[in-house]
Amino acid sequence: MIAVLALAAGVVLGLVLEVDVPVALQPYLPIAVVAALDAVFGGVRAKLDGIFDDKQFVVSFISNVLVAAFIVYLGDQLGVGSQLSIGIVVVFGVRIFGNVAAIRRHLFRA
Amino acid sequence: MADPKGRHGFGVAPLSPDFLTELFQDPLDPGYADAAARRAQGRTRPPWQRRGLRSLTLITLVLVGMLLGVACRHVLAEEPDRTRARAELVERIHQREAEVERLREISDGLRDDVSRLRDLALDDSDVRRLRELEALTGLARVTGDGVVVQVADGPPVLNPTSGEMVTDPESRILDQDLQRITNTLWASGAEAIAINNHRLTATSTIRNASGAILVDYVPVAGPYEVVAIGPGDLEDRFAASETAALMRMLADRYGISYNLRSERDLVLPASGEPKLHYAKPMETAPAAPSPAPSGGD
Repeated sequence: MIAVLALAAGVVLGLVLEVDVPVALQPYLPIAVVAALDAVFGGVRAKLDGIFDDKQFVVSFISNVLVAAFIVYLGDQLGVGSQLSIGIVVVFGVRIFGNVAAIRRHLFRA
Repeated sequence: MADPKGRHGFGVAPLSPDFLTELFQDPLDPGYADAAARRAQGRTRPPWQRRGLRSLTLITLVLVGMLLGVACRHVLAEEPDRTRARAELVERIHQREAEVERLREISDGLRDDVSRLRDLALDDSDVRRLRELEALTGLARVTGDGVVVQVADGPPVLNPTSGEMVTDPESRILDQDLQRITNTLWASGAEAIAINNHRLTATSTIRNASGAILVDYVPVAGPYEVVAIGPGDLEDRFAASETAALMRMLADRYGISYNLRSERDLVLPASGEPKLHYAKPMETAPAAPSPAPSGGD
């Protein structure tokens, strides 16, 4: 419950505060969002599985975002940024999908 | 999962050879299972550490929320920016076009003044000769009977991939089509031609620039109206030409619209002042003795 409140508070903060994303970081925003969503859904699923672990969640969020951003940065430098972005989106997308399916089974038993 | 310790060992199920299959089968980070296994073994963290990690989780969640909020705001802010920039550019183009139109009117008026004053200064035969030359070179407005050739892109069709109504590139009028039409008109005896009210001269160009057709570097948009003044049988001559046959074929096969008709009392505008790019007018006074060979002995 507190977790949901924290998330909601973050969304409100992000919407209300005029956070200026530096132009250099803007290409990484969508990837960071996907990576963060993966961490969140993974955490929710682990919670429902009864194996949630705070440290694991924090580390997975930070490493997801950093690694995803780094890969895109590397891809940009090598000229294959869009292809690597697709790869990252596919991997995270599959994981999000699988985790959401598990959450669904937990919630609806279907 | 049966052997949680195995995950930490070297070489024991490090990464399945088929990474994607594992990803599909078990999307949850294996770290959660490891942590649960550690807890099951009784290796729990001290309470202070647990509280600290708990607050870290909350901070992380706030961060995730902020990320989502910022991204949302970012996406929302970007779209109007783009449309606004486009609208601004469109408006600026219209403004400049209106300005060009205004300046052209002024220049037309001034040119009329100049020719009137010149007519006063010259005798009748010179005036007539000048007028004729001006009409021929496109420097003066001309009137007469002639033909109007109308061509236009085919009707837009639904694009199955984008769902937009677009004109099939095959049924578009190209610069070559207009070039063909004007060349055939000249060949059929036309003495003055204008495309969409833009008079052609001996140095006029009809070109293509990324989908737009430029006549003397001024973009013209369809439907294109090529108006020509010429002999009475201009329509018949044009209709019998290869170009007309090609246009009819294009109309049949690709759906462009093509229409040829004779019309009386057409008025064609003057073209702009011809620009000299390389030659410079001589600055000698006309009264001075000219060394030109054409002066004769």
